[in-house]
Amino acid sequence: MHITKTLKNDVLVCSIKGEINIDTVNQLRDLFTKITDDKTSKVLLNFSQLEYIDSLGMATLAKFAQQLKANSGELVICSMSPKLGSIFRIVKFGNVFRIFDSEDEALEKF
Amino acid sequence: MTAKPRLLKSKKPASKISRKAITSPSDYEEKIKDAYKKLRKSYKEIKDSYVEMILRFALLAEFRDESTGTHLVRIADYSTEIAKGLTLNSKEIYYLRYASLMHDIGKIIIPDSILKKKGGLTPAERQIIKKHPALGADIFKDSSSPLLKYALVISLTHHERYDGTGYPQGLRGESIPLFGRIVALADVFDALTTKRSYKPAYTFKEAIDIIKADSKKHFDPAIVEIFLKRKSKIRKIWQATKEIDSIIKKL
Repeated sequence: MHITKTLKNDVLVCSIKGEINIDTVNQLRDLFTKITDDKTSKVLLNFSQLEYIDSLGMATLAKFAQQLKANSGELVICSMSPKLGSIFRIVKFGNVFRIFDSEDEALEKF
Repeated sequence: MTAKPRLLKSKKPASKISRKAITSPSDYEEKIKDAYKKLRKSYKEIKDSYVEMILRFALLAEFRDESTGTHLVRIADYSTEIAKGLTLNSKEIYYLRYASLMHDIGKIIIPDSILKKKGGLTPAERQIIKKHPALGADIFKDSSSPLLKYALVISLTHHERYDGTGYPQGLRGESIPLFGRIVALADVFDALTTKRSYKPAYTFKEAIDIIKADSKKHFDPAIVEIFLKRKSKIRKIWQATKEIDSIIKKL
């Protein structure tokens, strides 16, 4: 898994490449810890190059989304493949995050 | 989500396609590299469309079920962990992960009056439920896609038992396909640790003990051994999906 971070206005855009799974999820946890320490509240995850996310990855996302929300921030997701979109729908994740088709749209509506 | 459907894109007229003159061997090399890249991209798109179709089937089954959707993700993740322990290659793990989502797809053909019946089932109703492996296999028969072939195998054989007392074919031991043996364990473990209308959820330890006791009877002992060796990872998956369920429930 590879993470690229870019700050666009006040939104931290994190592009994730590869798989978030039981063996790589700690990288995601470390990223979220750093974001919390930096007091960044608007986070956009670009999933255009994400191949797969397992249950540990999904739990980490959901918990971080809740945490940001409690601090008046938000975790938003964009550019998911239809494959991942279907997994999120199976898990009934629709109410946990706002999900946009493209990064531009997500940034505009943040 | 982002890509526009291909059929809606206008094609460039053939005369407008640039045809750069090939003047040196390095031009050939570049063209071949380019063609190979395009081929890989097309192959990935085809592979992803099969997976997407499988996932949409899974979604169809989930629409009918009021329970949480994490059940399917758990089956995929438990099966993946077992496969890693058996040192299956990444291609096989990929197929297992997605095809395992189809293990109960035959249940979409079972009427609600039986599938969702509260209280006990009559022997005749139980026989109808027992048809779901073969019904699922019927959905995927005659496919040339490896993924759909695996989906068929898993659907058909995930209720077989190692000692030959399972259904629908009463297969015994290693005559049960490996993917069927893996998903059988993942599915039972998940059922044990999940609350149902007729039973409470067993604790993680109780469920592990039941799996252990059923080695050689219900389950392949080699798969049980791998499962027990990877117990801490299995616990993490179990815990993660409980967290997801509790967050979704709160919203």
